[in-house]
Amino acid sequence: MTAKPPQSMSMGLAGGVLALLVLGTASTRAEDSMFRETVRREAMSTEFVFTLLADPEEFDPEDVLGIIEMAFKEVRELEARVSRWIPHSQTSYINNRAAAGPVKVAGDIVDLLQYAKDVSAETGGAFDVTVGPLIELWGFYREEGKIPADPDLAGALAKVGMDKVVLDRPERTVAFTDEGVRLDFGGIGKGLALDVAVQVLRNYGITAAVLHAGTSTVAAIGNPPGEPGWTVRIRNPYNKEDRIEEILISDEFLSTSGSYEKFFELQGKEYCHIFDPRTGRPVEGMLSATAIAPSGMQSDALSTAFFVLGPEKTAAYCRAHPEVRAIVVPVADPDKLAPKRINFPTKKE
Amino acid sequence: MSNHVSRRGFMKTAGAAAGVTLALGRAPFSYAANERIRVASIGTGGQGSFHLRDGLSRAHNIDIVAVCDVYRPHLEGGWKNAGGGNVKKYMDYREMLDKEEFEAVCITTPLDSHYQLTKDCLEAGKHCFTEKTLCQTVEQCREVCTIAHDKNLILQVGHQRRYNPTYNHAIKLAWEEGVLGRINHVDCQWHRNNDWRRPVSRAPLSAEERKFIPDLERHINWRLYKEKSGGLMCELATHQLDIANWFLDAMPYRVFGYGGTDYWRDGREVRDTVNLVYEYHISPENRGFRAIKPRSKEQYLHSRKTDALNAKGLISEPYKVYFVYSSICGNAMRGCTELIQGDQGTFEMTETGSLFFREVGAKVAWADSAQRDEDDQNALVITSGGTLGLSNKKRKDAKPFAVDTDKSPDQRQFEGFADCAMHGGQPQSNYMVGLRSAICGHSGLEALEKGHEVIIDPAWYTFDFETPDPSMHYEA
Repeated sequence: MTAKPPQSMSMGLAGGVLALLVLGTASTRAEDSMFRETVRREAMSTEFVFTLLADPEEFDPEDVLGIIEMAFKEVRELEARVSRWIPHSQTSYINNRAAAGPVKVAGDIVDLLQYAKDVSAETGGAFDVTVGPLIELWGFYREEGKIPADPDLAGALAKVGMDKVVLDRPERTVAFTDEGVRLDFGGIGKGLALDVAVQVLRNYGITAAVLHAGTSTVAAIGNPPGEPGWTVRIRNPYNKEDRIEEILISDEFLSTSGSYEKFFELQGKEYCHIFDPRTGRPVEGMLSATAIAPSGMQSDALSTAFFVLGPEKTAAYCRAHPEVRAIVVPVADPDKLAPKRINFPTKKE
Repeated sequence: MSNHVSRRGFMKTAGAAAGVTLALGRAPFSYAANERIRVASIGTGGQGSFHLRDGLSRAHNIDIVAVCDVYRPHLEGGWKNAGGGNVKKYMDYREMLDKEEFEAVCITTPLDSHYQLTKDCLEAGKHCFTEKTLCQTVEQCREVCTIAHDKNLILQVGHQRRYNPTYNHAIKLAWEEGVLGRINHVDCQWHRNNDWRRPVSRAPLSAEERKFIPDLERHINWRLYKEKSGGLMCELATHQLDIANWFLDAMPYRVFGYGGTDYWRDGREVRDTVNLVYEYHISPENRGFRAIKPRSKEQYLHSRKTDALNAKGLISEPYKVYFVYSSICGNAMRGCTELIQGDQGTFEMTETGSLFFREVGAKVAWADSAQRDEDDQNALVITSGGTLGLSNKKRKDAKPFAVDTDKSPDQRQFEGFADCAMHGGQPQSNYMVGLRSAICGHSGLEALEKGHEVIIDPAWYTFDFETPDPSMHYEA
């Protein structure tokens, strides 16, 4: 049976917590010698929270705040380049023009598209940045959910797929094979943002920090002093006060995709906001998927892919990628939740 | 009529630029329509990297062939932002000039290096895009302008608002459709609430870096030190001084101001607060000039008595416009905007969107039609009300008047630069634009330093050769 999430049936973000941070359990003697700065900023329609620990022998608080501002500046510039909602972003430029012929773009956008192609290939098309026409068809952009007619679905599916995106890396160009293909980096935007932010912080010598974007993507630099890692707790899909998993991450990124935050109900059935790009339909049978990976781009893309793939294929992916860990939670009754840990060196695996 | 500028409109400007070429007697270069110009980037820190990512990389007619920076982290970042691969890396620009083949450079370095770099690159036959402020003194500015003219090379200055379609459309609305009426006041500010410092890495410099960088703090935070920068006047104000010059199609007659280092007393040598007034004398030869109808009996009688009425009964004598400017570092509420204030309405200009406020009783055809035209959903027409302030609700409800475009202003300015370098013509932000904004910035700085007004001598921006139009715009 399909378990019913307890939240309101309205669409849009319920404002709940996907992945909850706890910054260490108690202040250790080692941490007592550090000072902590936490800064919150809005970007990408969510709240970014950066917490840094620094040694007062090396940094003064103004230095650290300056470094954090440099990181946020990079995040804002990234958003201006990749958001499909900003009219003169590179994404908008590509979407408007690439069907007519090759469009010249910056090197980092080419790299991003190459990664999107690679991860699409590695996951059998479970993650795809061209899924926009499906999201549009199902009414998620407008927050007006509707079940599309089969011919419409087939028409939208014909515009989806990384094979429709042609890259020329030496020339730094991108072209679409068909009219109506649309790039949407929304599925990896937060991960990308944390990648650039972490790079800035590392460049300035920061060795202990935890950053999150909307609590669904987390980046960890080093560890809190005296601790084995930064503690991240993953919430119970049925009860946001409860946690189903607690893990430690260090120099890693973690992303969670869940069906319990954004969904809509039509004709008595709930549809989640994550689409299977292969079928054109919202994914069924999963409550959440968490990916832990060396980059935010990877963890964001893979949490979505794992949600689409389900436990068995996620396990197969992770066997081939030992640098990636996963926790997948299939749909189950609240008292029978069975999170599956993959690539964790514990008996729970 | 529509308030949207089409891409076709932008192309028409390119045609207009070609017309300027012929007027100047310059021969276009022999590039095919689909060819690209080879560009090297000198200075790949914050602004240089921004141009590499958002402008140079996206420009359809540019190939980035080399990057140059004296600080290794910036050099590596710039190389990556340029696309990596075959892009060459240099720390010494002279070596790059010797070894690499390219036609143009993008100079985005601290102000104190603009003069030497621009001069050397022009003398090496390279077209130059030089960030504002053009140079550290008026004499230096004039010298590089003269070299660019003599060598028939493009010298474009980084005033990106000149390539923002919304600003260009606003100029058209102001000059050709008179939606502001007579511009009688300009009020701009750039307010922020931070120390304007950049963090400095603790990593030691390499021996190679030390050849170029005696003090990393001064190198990274160059905007705070007098020998390297004019502070707020040269790094921020010149953008907005240029806007006043553009809308009024004029240069100020004089400037006076007050300022100091009053909040961030942290060892910096430049002011953290500046307040200035620039006085412009506007006459019919300025495109920003507008004759007005007498609005009262007394005004009519006085104008008739002083012979100020033209044949149409309009008051057409020259007048003054005051431009009030401030930049502070301890409050960010007003942010960065340019208010262009006329007797019919006001433009509140920003780089990301602009507003039009109509004065009570103003007859503004554009605004009326914008309200009715379904195609103009983005047109804003709200009434500011006689002396009433705008409520937050009105501002929140307001929609920007913006021009649809999927090209960023940075992409436009570099495509325009490359187009002029390949095919002739003068860029919108040509060397006269840069010279004039630099003169305004340096004159303001001198007024602050010396505590007296500075008269801006027209000889500073006059040459004995034909110079490009400093008030070009492109039309819808």
